Amino acid sequence: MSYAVIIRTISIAALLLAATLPLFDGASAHAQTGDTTANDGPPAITIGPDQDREFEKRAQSLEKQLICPICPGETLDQSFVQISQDMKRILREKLQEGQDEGQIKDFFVARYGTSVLAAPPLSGFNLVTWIVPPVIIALGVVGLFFVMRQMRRGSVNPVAAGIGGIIPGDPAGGDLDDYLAEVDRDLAIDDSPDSDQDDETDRSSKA
Amino acid sequence: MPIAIGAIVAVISLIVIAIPFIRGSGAVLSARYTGEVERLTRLRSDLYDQVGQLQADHAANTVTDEDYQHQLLELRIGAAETIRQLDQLGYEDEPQDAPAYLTLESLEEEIAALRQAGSRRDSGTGGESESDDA
Amino acid sequence: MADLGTMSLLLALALAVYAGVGSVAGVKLVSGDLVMSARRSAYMAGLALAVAVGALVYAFVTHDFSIEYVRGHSDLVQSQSFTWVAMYAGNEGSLLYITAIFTVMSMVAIYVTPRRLEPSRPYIIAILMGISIFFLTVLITLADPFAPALFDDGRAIGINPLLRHPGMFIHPPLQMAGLVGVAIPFAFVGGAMIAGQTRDQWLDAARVSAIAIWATLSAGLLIGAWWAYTILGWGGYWSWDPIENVAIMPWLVLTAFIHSVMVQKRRGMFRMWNIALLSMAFVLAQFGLFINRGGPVVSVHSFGASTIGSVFLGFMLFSLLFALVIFLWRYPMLKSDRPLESFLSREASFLVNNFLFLGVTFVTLWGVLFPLFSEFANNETVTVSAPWYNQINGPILLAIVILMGIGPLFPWRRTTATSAQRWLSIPIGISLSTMVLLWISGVHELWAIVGFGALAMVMSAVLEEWYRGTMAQRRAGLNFATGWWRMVSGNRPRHGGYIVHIAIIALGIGIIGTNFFQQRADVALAPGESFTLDEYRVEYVSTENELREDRISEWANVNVYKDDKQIASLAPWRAFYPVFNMASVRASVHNVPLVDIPGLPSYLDPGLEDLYIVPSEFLEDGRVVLRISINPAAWWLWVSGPIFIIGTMIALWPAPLQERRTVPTRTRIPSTPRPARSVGV
Repeated sequence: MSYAVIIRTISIAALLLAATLPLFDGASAHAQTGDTTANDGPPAITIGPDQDREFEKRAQSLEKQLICPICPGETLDQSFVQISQDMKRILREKLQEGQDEGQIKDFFVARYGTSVLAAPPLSGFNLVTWIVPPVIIALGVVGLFFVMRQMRRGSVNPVAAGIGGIIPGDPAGGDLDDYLAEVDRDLAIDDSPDSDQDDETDRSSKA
Repeated sequence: MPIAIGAIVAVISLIVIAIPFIRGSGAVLSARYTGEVERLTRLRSDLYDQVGQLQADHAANTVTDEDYQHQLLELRIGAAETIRQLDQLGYEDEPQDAPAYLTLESLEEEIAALRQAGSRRDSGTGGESESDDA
Repeated sequence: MADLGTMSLLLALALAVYAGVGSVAGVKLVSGDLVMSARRSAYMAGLALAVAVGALVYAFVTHDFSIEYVRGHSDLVQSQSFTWVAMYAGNEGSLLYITAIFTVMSMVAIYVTPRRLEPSRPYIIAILMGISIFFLTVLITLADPFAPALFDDGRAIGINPLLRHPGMFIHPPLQMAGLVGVAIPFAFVGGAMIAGQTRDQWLDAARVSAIAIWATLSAGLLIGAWWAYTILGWGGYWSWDPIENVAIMPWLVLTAFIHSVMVQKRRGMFRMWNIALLSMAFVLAQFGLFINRGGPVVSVHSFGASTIGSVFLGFMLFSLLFALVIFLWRYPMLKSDRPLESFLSREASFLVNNFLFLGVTFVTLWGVLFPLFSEFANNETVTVSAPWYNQINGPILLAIVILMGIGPLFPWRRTTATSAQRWLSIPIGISLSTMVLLWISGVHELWAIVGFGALAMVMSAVLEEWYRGTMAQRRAGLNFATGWWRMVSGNRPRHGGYIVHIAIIALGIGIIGTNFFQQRADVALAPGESFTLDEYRVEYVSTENELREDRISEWANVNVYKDDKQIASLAPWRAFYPVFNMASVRASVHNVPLVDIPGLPSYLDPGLEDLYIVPSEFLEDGRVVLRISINPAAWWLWVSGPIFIIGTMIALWPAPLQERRTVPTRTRIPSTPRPARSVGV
């Protein structure tokens, strides 16, 4: 597979993907981190000095996996609105009762739909979210391997080969020697193979 | 008042745009020539840079002696070829001293000379594979 | 003012059209005057747009509420400094800003086009003006910032409260300039391809402009992250929000380009690939515009739904097509000069680097698009958010960091497996020792340990390169400092790049610390009460509030003690904006220093962790609910910024000797005699 084929494939795929977009109605919810001024009732989540740290850690980890239903893309962990506070409280109650993460998540999904989960569930159609990236990357690795192999055999441009068009080891034409001498003068190189000129200060004589 | 500002800006723009026609600027086709000259000059300069970096790497032992010799030869040959191509372009003066104006006849001669140089170049050398439609 | 604004936009459009069409016509008609005139017209278009921007800012500052946009984004009570920048707070104004900054950047690009690109310059101008024409047309027809107010009832609302933050002065201008500036390297390449200059004449121009734009984007992203950190209240700085994602995708592709362009410069390889990368970055930036303005995704950043979304989508598809066409047209001329000699070479490692960066880009794009895909194909709304991105992108980013640690050590062309083993042993050894040390000292979070190990490898690679290079200079008789500097000046792109790698190490430390070791508590405290989190005792003292014209602010005075010594007195606040029915918070962030350097303010000391306090609720019984977080290593996130800038500046700094090199006067007679010719343009 050559580069061009890969690029073309990616471009066509992107084109096809982009072509499906106009089918969607562009309506973005403009909800923000809102709140009410009235603070009715006790605050939803607090921990006192004697609260169980481990329990709190579990609760916080769960909060990071659930999305506030009315906020644009914020997890419970990030959101301060009333509904988030309520959800955090319910979540903790259920943890106290001994329910596990899966059951709690199912509870919220039943109420608010799949979009309440911060990542698509690992089931059904949504498995596609999780499977496609590793598959594409694996294919990419294979592709990369073949590309590198093909590059090794070399699709060398015969017109452009070498720098300035000369393939090393084959100075085409005798009068290159004069030019080579001129180059060496510019670079102030002496001919010995073990030259220890490692400093660019010698380059000041170069024009 | 705001509209006056807009009008002034419009007038200034018109004047600025018209000046080249009034004054008569340089021609466009010599761009190819100086483009090529500068490309070769820059290439030579880059190659000299790379020699310097190669020598620094060699002194720091990140390049083996064999690789050093091979790459040094490559770079020297490349720089030499660059100078040869500059010569073939008939280049003699420094571009910075060149006057700004050019007549159409001298341009046509220039293009013809470039074409001659292109056909006389040794086979296998890198040529500017430009399209002729510009 | 509205009249001046509209006039200027129309004038700019006319000038841009003349500039673009005239450039190409001038080449075809062989009229140097027309080419010159068209180029000047491009410069004048920038002037006209500057006037338009000036008109809008003036309208804001003089509270000209007869303009709808001014009415919608400012009022008489918001702080005056925000009025100056409110211009880019909304859709139309930010579009005007983007058009203006793009045209100004184009002016610079056109002016500094090197002479070897002279034949391409008219086409470069045409491409740049084409993009300006698109933006101007959208501005004039669909998103007019100077449209008159529909109801002149004097009612005005200010800018969104979340935007009333110092970050507003820097982040949007930088971020937008960076995103639209991705077109500049693309224009250099595109123009060169059209003109037929396929022999890498465009390489330096593309490389320098790409690095400059990349640096702008990096700064924009980092400042945006800092802004989010202090204003959004949960101590987060990156949430893989769709708008953030579309901003980082061009950045990722440009990073890939910056690396693989080195191979093209050094070995004449990857030419087609580099052009493809620049095209991809350009199209992704367009995609970002589409998503940002009326795209079909939901985000805190959205400017809101509008019909112009499909226009941007159309332009994106057009750009894609354009890039494909000119690329395929010149395809035969773009083959590599040389083959790949070995899998164990720097060239190969750059290829892998590119692959990984594109991998992250793909994953991010997939995450942004999947919810739409799911709605369409499965009729179900799903959310793809931080947990998914972290799990999928995390390993790829880790691989990138590991590659950063070993890639620079590979020599060009090839090396043998045995010598590779030899010099790879050092970084791997250091990495393993780091991981073991961490384990022994009590860190048992597996991913964090691996991450730190990878970062240690990067540091060791840079130090190894610098050690060897400086030692070589020392052998020539220089001391350490001068030797190091001489080595860096001798190869600025490479060593500037190493400094940028060090910036990434700092960033990585901050990311690992905040991601894996954060501690958080939400507590309700009465005045005088304290809560202890880890080693810090936070005491709530009192609340004060202030009623302003546009908001009600309350702040909580809080003292922080460590080991019974007071280390800070903080006042995080919360403001409620009745007009918006919205609250915004400002966190108090105290940098707990690793090392207290006398004489330096505390935020400059290298940070161990951040103590982060936000008031989430002020209760009626006088208590306050505080969110207290300990964010380890957060300071390192922000210190990476200055290091980035230093590294980029060194990489871009032109080496004086080479630049001033002139061709010597030649005395030898050329083999084919020809009269001497002096030419100029």
